[in-house]
Amino acid sequence: MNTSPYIIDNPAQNDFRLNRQTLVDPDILTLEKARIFDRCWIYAGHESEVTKAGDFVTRNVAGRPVILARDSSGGLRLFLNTCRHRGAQVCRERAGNTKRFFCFYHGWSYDNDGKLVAVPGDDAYPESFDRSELGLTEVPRFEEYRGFWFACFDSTVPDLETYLADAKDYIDLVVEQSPDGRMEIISGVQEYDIAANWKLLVENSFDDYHLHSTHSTWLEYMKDAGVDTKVPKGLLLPKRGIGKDLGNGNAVIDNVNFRGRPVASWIAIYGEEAKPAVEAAKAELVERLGEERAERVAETNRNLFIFPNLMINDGSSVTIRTFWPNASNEMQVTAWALGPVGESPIMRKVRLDSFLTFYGPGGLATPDDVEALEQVQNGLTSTVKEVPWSVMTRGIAKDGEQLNSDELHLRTFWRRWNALMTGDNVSAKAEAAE
Amino acid sequence: MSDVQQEVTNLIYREATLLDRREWDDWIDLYTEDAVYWVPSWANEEETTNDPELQLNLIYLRNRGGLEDRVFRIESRDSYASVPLDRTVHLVSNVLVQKEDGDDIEATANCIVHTYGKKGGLTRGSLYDFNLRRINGELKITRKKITFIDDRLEGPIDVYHL
Ligand code: FES
Ligand SMILES: [Fe+2]
Repeated sequence: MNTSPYIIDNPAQNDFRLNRQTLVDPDILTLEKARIFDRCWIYAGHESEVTKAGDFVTRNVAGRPVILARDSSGGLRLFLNTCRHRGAQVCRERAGNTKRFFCFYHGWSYDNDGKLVAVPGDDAYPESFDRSELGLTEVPRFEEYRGFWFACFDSTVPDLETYLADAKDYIDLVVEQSPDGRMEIISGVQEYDIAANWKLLVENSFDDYHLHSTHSTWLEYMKDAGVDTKVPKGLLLPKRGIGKDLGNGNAVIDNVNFRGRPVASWIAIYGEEAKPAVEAAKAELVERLGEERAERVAETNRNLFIFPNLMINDGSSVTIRTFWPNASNEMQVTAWALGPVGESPIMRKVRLDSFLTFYGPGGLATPDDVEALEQVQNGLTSTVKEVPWSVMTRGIAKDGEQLNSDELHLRTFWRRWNALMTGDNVSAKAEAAE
Repeated sequence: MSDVQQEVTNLIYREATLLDRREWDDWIDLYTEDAVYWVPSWANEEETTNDPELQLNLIYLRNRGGLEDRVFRIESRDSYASVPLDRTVHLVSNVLVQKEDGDDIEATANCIVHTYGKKGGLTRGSLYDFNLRRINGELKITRKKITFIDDRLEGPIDVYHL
């Protein structure tokens, strides 16, 4: 039994409850920014977004405006987008290619290695003024795993690979669908707001319990299109959808594919003309990876959660989704589609169609998720005094494997969240006990 | 006003009216079987995605069947994003015929959609690009591209918001 104000975590009594204040209280959000977003590895971008020297994109990472840039020697850098003079953002475009980041306020400019290279009227500065100390500030930690780059604002925490723990195996599965082991962000982005606490999207993004009740029209649509939405039996691995703790708060639902995958599992929706390409992709996988691994890559889906705010949904398409809280009841979501480098146009088309059918603010499923999350937020916000706890015990009494529709993976998230928020390791012990 | 200008304007107004009054079957009837319906996303400050086949959009439907799926969802009342259904008012203006080539016409228009829903009122602006074709004397929509001026969407969108 733990003593956290946030969760009641008592596997011995088959009890796990969540204090709804964690989804409501603005003071908790302030604490989260310091204890979670400033201390964890936060997804910053993908190597494919800046391919040539001088390429850059700007965005917010852990609440800071940053510039993701390809420097003069071909490396990736992540600069804080603030002028060392008096603070203006030095890069005001979302994406582009440049030799100089020019601060228009007083005209300081920086090269794409971050060096301060021009200061108008610098004769007015004292002798102690040292340009070499006034380059763009880089984030303290910036590391990658297989093309996915993460930033960390705490220089004391372990490195990225240690942090990712067993999530690495699942990133490998995503990347292995590419013949040359490289994936790329497909041009175009979806950005939308949800009027709900950010942690509700963590839960929702890998909650298979809600599929039938929330997404019945999408299932109906698939059935109409001739897709058998019943999960097939007798595949190599895994035999059924499971939920798994991957360490450090990372978790996954690991599913048997039933709804088609552009790599290697054709369904009628793709159209006859795509069949040869899909079959060729499968043959390539088998040849490169062997029968068993190819089956694993091609015929299983994964909704992979990297703590605290990255989801990689590798199913009928690959979605990279990250989100940031504007307020305790408001988040901004950014979603990209990921595909193998060099993918043929017909496969791209299938991939993007699959993506848009399900995902995004105009998809056939995401809008229903958004509605669900906003209903949760509306339901619990003003009732939190009368109804303080949510129940999250699905699967808790089971020995061994937990299903994708159980809630082990959600408890994994919340335990890590709780441990970071309270600084205790009680949750880690409860986890070990489960 | 030329006959064509009048005819195009009527069609575009009619579409807006049918959406606001939820006459879905008549709305779908304005589109040809092979009509393309496209809502691009913003690639940067200046440009939207321009290749719907190879870039990520907000919505891209290759034929009228895609619109029928949307209507099915709305009418099923099992899609909770559309229950209760937002009320909408489309204000279409600046209708211009851009090109006439035999039976094919290109036209542009501007649209403000005011939505009232669970989160209150919301007004969004977009640019319309239409391709129209005269079939048996009647103008039909063969392609509609809707460019939202917002790059970050406040909540989800469906055909009645567009
Ligand atoms: S703030 Fe950038 S030059 Fe003054
Ligand atoms: Fe969902």
